[in-house]
Amino acid sequence: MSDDDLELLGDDRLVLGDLLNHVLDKGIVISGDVTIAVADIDLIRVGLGIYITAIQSELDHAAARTRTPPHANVPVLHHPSGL
Amino acid sequence: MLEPHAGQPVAVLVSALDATVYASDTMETRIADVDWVGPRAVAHDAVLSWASDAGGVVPFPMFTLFASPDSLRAMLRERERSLDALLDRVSPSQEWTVRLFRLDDRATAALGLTSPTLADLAQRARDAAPGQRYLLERKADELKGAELRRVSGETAREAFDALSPLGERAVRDALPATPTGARPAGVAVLDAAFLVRRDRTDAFRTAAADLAGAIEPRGFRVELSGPWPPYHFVRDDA
Repeated sequence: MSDDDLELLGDDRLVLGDLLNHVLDKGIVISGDVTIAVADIDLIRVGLGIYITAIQSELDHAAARTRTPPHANVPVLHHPSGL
Repeated sequence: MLEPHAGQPVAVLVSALDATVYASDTMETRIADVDWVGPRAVAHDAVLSWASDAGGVVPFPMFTLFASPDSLRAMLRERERSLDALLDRVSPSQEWTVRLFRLDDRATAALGLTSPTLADLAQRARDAAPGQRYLLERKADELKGAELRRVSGETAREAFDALSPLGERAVRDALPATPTGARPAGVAVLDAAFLVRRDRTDAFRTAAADLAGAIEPRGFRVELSGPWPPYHFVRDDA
């Protein structure tokens, strides 16, 4: 799959905010001259933070439209086989 | 896939990228593009989830880029021992995320159950003469916000303490800023991640469901997601 083939399908956006919180700001962080930080990493994180906030708001509204009432049988929102 | 050492059961999952697309100056604009970042985040997670399901993985954040295979190998040589230790630590487990939300309308209505102070005021108001009743009801209204926050803190601690023993490790994240206006999903009061052994997955999910049932009458909602690769548990302080 080429980099340009990546596409996000509509309903997947419901869990995208959760996913971004995991993949952007977590994981082992390495530093030093063997690593290239794309631009200033702090700037990137700030930019992504704004992005996450924006999309989370959108997701909240989408969830309000689609989510069933809360109940004790906790739904699992993410599966490893893909979104 | 890149195998840094022949014969070793550890490999690195890498993609070759177009240096012009991921150059500093273009990235600064691309990272603000929802439609560009989103699918890449999904792909990043899909690869890590596959690796996590297949055995074990040490996740790196998105946009961890190396100039060349040699620079990647150099990092691996330098960190070989700590990466091995991390893999040993996290591979038997997967990550689960638990978020707790307060539904303000329901939580306020439940304060008679969750707040002894307000329950006492309500009882005294019922027994009081009209003038005194008015004052007591006003006092109760003034206390509701503080009591909601107190109950939220207690419920969050209770949830974290109930689930932590089922995991190898547990960590609480900082809560996101609460947006103003309509909050259909509720106010986040807990954002926690748990490193749960694969053979304890069912027990953890059962405990989360039990927790949801216990706190729903208080006006709180539980959101469980997983299994994730161990994103939260591969840092030195995690």
